[in-house]
Amino acid sequence: MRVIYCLFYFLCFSGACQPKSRAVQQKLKNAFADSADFELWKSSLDLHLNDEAHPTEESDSHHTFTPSILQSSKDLFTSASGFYFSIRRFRARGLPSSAFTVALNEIPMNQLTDGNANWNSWGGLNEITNNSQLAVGLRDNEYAFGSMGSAQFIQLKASRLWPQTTLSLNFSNRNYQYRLAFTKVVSFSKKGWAFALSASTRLGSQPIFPGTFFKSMAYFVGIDKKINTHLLSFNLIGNRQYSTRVSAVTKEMIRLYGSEQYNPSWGMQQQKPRNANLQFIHLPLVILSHECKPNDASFLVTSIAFSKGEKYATGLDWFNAADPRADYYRYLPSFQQDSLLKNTLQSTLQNNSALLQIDWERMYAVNRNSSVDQRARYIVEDRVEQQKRLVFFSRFSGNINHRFYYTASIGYQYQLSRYTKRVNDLLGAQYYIDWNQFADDNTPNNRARQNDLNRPDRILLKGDYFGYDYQFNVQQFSVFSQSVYKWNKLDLFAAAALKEVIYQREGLVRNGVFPLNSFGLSTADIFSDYAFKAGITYKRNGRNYFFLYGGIFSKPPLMSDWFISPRTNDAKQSAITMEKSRMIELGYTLNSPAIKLRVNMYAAQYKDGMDVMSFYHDGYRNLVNYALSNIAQTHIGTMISGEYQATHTISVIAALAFGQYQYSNRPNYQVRIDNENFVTEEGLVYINRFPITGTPQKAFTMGIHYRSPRNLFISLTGSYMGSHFISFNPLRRTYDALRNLPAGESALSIIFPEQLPNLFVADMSAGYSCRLLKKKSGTALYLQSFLSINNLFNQPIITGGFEQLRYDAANASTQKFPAKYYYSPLTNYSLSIRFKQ
Amino acid sequence: MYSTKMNSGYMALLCCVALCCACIRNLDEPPLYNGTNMVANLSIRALRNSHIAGNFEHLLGNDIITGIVIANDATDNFYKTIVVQDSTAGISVRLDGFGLSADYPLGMRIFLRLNGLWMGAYGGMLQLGGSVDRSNILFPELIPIPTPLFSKVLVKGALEKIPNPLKIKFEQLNDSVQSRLIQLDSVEFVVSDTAKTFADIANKATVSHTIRFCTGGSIYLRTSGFASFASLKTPRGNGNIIGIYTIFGSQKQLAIRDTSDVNMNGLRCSSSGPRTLFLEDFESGSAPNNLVINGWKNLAETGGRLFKIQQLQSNQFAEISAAASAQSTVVSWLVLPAINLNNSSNEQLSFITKDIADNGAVLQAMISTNYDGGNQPWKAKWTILKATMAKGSVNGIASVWTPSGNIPLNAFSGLATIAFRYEGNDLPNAANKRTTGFHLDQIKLVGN
Repeated sequence: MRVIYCLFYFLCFSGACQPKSRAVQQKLKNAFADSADFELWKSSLDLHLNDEAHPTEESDSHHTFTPSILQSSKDLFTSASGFYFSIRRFRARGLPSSAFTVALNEIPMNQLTDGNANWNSWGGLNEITNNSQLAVGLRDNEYAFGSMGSAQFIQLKASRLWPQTTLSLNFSNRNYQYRLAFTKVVSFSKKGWAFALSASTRLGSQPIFPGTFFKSMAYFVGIDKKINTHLLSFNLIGNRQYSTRVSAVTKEMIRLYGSEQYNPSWGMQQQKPRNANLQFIHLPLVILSHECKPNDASFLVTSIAFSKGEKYATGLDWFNAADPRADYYRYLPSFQQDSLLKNTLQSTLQNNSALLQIDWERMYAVNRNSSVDQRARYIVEDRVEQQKRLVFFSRFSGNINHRFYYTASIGYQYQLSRYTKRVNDLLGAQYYIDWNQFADDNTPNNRARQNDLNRPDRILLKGDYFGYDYQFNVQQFSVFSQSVYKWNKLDLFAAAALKEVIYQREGLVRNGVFPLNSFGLSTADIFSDYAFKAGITYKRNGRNYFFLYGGIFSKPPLMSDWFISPRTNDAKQSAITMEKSRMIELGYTLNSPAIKLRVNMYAAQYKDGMDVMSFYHDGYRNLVNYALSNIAQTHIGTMISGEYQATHTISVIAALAFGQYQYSNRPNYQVRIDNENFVTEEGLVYINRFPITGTPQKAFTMGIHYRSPRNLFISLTGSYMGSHFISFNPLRRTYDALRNLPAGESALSIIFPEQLPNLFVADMSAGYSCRLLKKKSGTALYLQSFLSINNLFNQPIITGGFEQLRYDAANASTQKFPAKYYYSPLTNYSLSIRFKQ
Repeated sequence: MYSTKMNSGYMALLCCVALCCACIRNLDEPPLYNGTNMVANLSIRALRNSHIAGNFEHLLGNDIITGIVIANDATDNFYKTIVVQDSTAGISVRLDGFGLSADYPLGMRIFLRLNGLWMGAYGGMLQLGGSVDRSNILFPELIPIPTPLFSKVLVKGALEKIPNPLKIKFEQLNDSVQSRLIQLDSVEFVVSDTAKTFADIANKATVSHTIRFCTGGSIYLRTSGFASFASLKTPRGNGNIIGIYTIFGSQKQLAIRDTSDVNMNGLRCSSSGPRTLFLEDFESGSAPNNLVINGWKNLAETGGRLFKIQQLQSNQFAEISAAASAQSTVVSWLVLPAINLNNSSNEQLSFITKDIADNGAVLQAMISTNYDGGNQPWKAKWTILKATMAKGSVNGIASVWTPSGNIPLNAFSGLATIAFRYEGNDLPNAANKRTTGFHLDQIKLVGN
């Protein structure tokens, strides 16, 4: 790795020493568009109308050189569909969420532990973070290798933001009710300083779902200093946010509650709603970077980023007391065998909605009566992740001549994530004890129940850490290199990325069930992986492009898919396999003044994937982990997006995604219980040709947009989504699952994945902008307003769902643990008003 | 570029935004629960009397009973059941939940709205439940009340004192004391059931042990394999036991809440009476000399004082005192010969003492199982025995002997040594003097 690093710097410097040459289509300085908060308007109109000018202009010129396809902040498909398909959590090409990456100032934000990005940690700063570029699929981009899904690059440097003074107000009934944001960006002063400031606060609740609330304060600072050919930048970005989430619910609960807007995770306390599932995030990030552009042909950017913060989700914990969740399956009419009791229960629950919520005051009463010294039976706990990240990144881009562009980068990432629990609220009790109730087998002086043998029987007060406590320690070294050749009719690119990842778990407590392999450092695992991609674009003329891209990738298992039950021990999946994948894309792009069209066909294959799923199994009375390995998938499909400018004022935008995403073999599974030192079950999961779940496989949207010359904008959009399957429980597709199936009964209801009803949803949006006043200095104050209304027909829409991982194998029945669903709010709106100078 | 006025306006606005900082205010805690003003209109006895044998009664109307929780699932010996009693009778209530002890701790007053409940007997045991399971036509059974109905059916009152158990003789064990907290005196486990685990924890199986009355008759102690005390051993001795009286068919049963309900360390009521394992009355020694008995150790740790044989009114006894020793510390040991406790059970130690001119010196009875028999007993580990010692005779010699009480030694096994340790001083200042003298006699160990 070190050799490669040295080589990289050598190349950079040799690049920097190149004689100046004229760059054609040098896109290093991005044409970052005005970062408007109302994405739709911007992306569908402003941006594309603006972008449209460039290719035509170029193609009209007499050069034989055909310009390459411009990269824009959003590709046509994403801008046409992204918002509308998001209600069903559409993932382009059915790829996993880790295939969609995001970077701030080129600093990768996807976590090394689980592959996901904490979007919330910079939420609420839309005026700033809309300043982004999206690289879809395998296409080359100027920053990094990219990913199979898409890679978004958000540019935060003050001098790259649109100079503005903006005050934004939002009113909505979605996640929050009010948003107030102030943004000021000042471009370079005479002395070479540029600065940007943004702050926003979001408050309120989701009015449609009771018991929710939202509170956030986000901040951003950017300072740039230009010294000759050098640019020094400082960025600070963060969002301190409390929010609540609405839990998934079964259809039975909806019948009992009487509407789809049931939220089981709250209850009244002293006449005020209190939510048990609170989420907090605050992961401030500081980025220092240096850019150097010694000549037009070379560019070197080096950044270092630090982030330190915490996120947690609260939840209830209890010891020797009844499950306090009102939707616990044993409390429901469906659990009762006796028809009389079923009816009594049904009518009691239907007539007393408080019984469907959390009874906080009961928990206080129980805690106060629990013992003479008031040991807690119920507490609210924080499930904490404390995170420290250090990222170093250096990229060199240059062009040897006007046909050959070269990019290379090296990166180092270090992430330390500590996962533990903390007492948030003793609910009126005096203390709690650090015991593991699931390992309590009632024997006297039982060691197994100790969460920490190093500090047995520890008394816990508010704020104390307890339960599991471990750290994931990940380091990643990466190098990337990309060459792009641009001939008159052909563009070629080839890119390679190599990575070395080091994983280590460190247990901070010695678990009573696993005294030998819970405390201290695990053995380190070192994985090396590679990724290659290449592509060719045939530029028939400035309007018609044909392209073919292909890539092969290998990826080590994510840390969270590699350790089976990291909460209690350092056991790993038994065989190391690198996930291998490959993808090929074939496409056509038409950019004409009236019609824009993009057709993209793709085929992708994954094999040797790994996954670990964990959930609470109340039969085992334990957290249970399903470890899957040897997962293979195929994804084939077509994406078409188009925009037709019918008249000066009316345009039609449509997008279609038609795919078939399937599992293509029978993975292995192992079941391990958090508090048992052996594998409880193992075997094959029979899911060959099962659909990939959690995303519609077929989706279509079409919108009519009217834009009057008087700055009025209205659009009406209809979207259809189908072939959406809910996440399935692999253990229902095993040999053991069907062993107790009554003779003559069909297994299909157990093994067949459930499809959500096809959805048609209509949305509308409207915008208006005008100049309020013009000042003598030449600046003017503008008002921009934007309204979007979703789900015009007020349908209760299922946005997603999952089969419960618990399954009643004894009766081979799915009735006891039916699927749970997430519902969207009904008709919802967002109104944004902004004053902009 | 921009006017200063504008800029300061922006800064003020920014500050306002920053002030709306995202933090969570402290929640209001509910006040302490102050009970209910609900009143019962039916006694538990009246409720029980309305039961017709073999029948399941669907209780309608607005009857309310009240009672105090006398058993619950705190130790998992009672499963999905709480037992309540009022002054007239007790009844078991079947509740479909775990951790019931959290909501219904022992001593809590409960009001039960009977409307909609069912009453019926299982194996003769009268219970309240939510419905009736008639799937087994021969043994219809009550279904426990589902959790969401708890708050409707059971209203919590204040925590009160747990009622004293009803002392019951074997002849009084009948259905009227079903589900009541009772105490049985002078009972013991039959020999084949002593020192057995209360239940089978490995197989989580319920076990019945026979308890017999000294006066005749027996009852089963039933313990669930899920009980937290299932792995503890049944005592060998005789004494009393407290529990909930239950029946299954014609079988009389008792269920305890915890092992603290079992106090059976006394001597068993064998027909031959207890054996005397050891007796010393000091009549064979020669008074007034230092005590010398074969196998005994009479040792002075500091201060040089030894136990002496003394005689008074033709009774010989051992005596120790720091008086007139002029020592700043007096510690003296009288060590008995070692006794093997494995050859007997329910051993009980007793002795009698008198104090003389008590000003605070101490005599203690102690036991050790690791004493090596040497001349430095203070190096061994000793456990002080709970004995009643004579005290308070400030102006001379006590007029009567103080019995130590029966001190159970059933917690000890193997070779054990009993010793008496005296600690006093004879400092010049009268306020600091600890010169109490002690007479010690009739050291006796009995057992089965």
